[in-house]
Amino acid sequence: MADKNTIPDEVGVQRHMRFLNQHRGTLVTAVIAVAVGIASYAVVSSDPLAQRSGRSFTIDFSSVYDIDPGLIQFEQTGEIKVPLDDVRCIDVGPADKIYVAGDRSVGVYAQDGTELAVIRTEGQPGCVAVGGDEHVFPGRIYVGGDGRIEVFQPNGSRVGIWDVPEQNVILASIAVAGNDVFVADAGNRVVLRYDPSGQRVGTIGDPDDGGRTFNVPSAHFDIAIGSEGRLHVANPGALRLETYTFDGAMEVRWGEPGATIDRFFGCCNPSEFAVLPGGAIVTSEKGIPRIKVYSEFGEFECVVAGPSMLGVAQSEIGDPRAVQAEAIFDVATDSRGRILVLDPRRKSVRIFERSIVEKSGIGFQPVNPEMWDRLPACRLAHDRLEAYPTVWDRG
Amino acid sequence: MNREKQTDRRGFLADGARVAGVVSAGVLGGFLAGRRGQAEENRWQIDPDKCVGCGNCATHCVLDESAVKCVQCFDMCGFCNRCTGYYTLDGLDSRDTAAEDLLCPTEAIIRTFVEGKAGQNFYEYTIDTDACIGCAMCVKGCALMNGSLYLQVMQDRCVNCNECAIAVACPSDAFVNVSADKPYRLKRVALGVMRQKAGKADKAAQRLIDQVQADE
Repeated sequence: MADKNTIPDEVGVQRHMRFLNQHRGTLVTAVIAVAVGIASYAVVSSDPLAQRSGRSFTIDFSSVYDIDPGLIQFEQTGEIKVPLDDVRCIDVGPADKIYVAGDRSVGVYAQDGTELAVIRTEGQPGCVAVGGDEHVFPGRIYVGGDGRIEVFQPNGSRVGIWDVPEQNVILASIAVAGNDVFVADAGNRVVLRYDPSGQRVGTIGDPDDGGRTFNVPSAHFDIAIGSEGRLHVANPGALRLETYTFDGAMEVRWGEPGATIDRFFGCCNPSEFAVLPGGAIVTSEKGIPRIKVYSEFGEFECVVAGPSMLGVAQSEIGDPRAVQAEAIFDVATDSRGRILVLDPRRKSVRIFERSIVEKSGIGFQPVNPEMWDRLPACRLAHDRLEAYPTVWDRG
Repeated sequence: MNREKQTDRRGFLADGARVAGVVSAGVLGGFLAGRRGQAEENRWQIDPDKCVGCGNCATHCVLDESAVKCVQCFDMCGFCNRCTGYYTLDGLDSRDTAAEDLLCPTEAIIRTFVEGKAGQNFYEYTIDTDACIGCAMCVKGCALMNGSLYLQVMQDRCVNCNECAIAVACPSDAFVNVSADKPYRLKRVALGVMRQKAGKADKAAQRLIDQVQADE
C-alpha cells in the first residue's frame, strides 16, 4: 500500500513525456489554432477597416478653419440689411454711399443703412462699380451683366448700354479710373478697357496679342484701381494678384498658393478684392471663406474675418450643396478705411473696422512713392513673364 | 329532324360567337385597365443639389461595391492644377501624387495633363468607375471650388431595391425616385450652363439635357 501511494516521480514524468511524444502533432496544431484564434479576435475586435473608412471619408478642415485670434485685427461694427433676394456685388461711391446690386436692380444706401434709391437694370447684375471723385463723371454707375454694361447717372437715369459683342462673355468685375473704365470678362479671361464714352480702347490678356495671361477657372475674376494709376487684377488660377499699367504692362505680381493664412487657398483665389485708402489690398477667398489684408506689394498684414466670423460653420466647409457655393463674400472699402463685406446668405452688408489701431499703432500709411521708383528694375516684360520668380523680390 | 339539327348548329355557333365576344371584351377591358393602373417604372437617383457628401453611399449600399459613383461635369470643371477634389489639403501644397496626398481612398480619379497656357498647366480629371466606391471625398473637396464632381446612382449597377438602404441612411433626403426613362440628374448649376450652351445651338448640350431629369 505504501509502495502504491509512493509511485516514484520518474514514472509520472515518463508517462507525461510519453503522452506528449505520442500527441505532439496534435498539441502543436492545437497551440497554433489557439494562437490564430486569438490573433483573429484581436484583428476583428479592433476593426481596422472601420477605422480606415471613418478616417478616409472625412476631411479635417480644422487646420484651415481655425484662425489665430492674434492675426484678426478687425471687428464687425455694423450691418446693413439689404432688401434683395439675390445679392451679387457691392461698391462704394462718392460720399461713401454704398451700392449693392442684385435682383435686376442696384440699391443705393447711406452709411447708416438708409435706402437712398433703387435703380432698375435690364440685365441680371454680375458686377457694379461707381466712379469716384477722380472719375471724369463722379458718381456714374456702371453695372455689368448679361454680356453688357449698363451705365447710369448718379441720379439713376440711364446713360446708355455698352454691348460686349464677344461670345461666352461673363462680366465679373468693373473698375473705374479717371478717364478709363476696365471690365473683367471671366468667360474670355481678358480685361477690357473702355473710355468714358463706351469706346473700347484696349484689351489686357488678349490671347491674340502675346498669349493668354489670365487663368480664370470660375466666374470670379476681380479687378480694382490701385494707387499711382495702376490696375490690380486677380489672376485666380495662378493664385496671385497682378498689377498692370493701364496700357497692360505687368509691373508686379504676388501671391503664393497654400492653405496657410498668408497664402491663397485652393485652385482659384482670391475670388474678390478691394483697395484700402493708402493702397493696401483686402482679399476675399472662396472655399475657405476668409478676408485678409495685404500691403500693396503682397506682404500679409492681418485677417479681417475668418470663416466663423463670416457665419460659416466648420461643417459647412466642403458641403456640396448650393448654400455653401453661395458663401462667397464680395468686398468694398470706404474713404475711412472701413471694409464692407457683402454677405449673400444674410443678405446684408457687414461693416468691419480696425479694432487695435491705437494699441498697435497700425494705421493706413500711404505707400512710399520710392517703392514705385524701384519697380523698373523688377518690372516684368510681358513676353518674359515666366523667366521671373513668382513673387517679386522686394530686396 | 334535319331542320332541327341545322337550327341547333346555328344556335350553337351564335352562342359561341357571343361568348367569345364577351370573353374578348373582358380580356381587352382587363388589359386596358391593367395598363392604366400599372405604375411607371422608377429608379433611385441622387439629387446632387441635396447631397451633403456624407459617405453613406459607400457603406450602406446592399451591393458589395456601391452602385453610387462619382461623375464629372466637365463644363463646370476648371481643369485646375491644384484641384481640391484631387489633393488633400497637404497635397495641394506639395502636389505630390503619393497616395497619402490624394483625397480619393481608392485612387479612382485619373489626372491627365491637357495643356499649358499662361504659364499654368491644365489637367483633366476623370473617374475610374470600377475603382470609385462613392465615398464623396472628392465631392466635398471639389465643393470648395467649382463643385463639378458629384454622385450619381449608376443604373447599370443598381438593383433598384424597393427600400434603398442608402436612401434610408441618407441624412439629407437626397435620394429620389426618378423616371426610368431619364434616370440621371445634373446639378442645377450644370443644368444652367447646359441650357445656356444649348441656347447657342450646342447640340451636345441639348442632347445631354434631353437625356437627364431636367425638372427644377
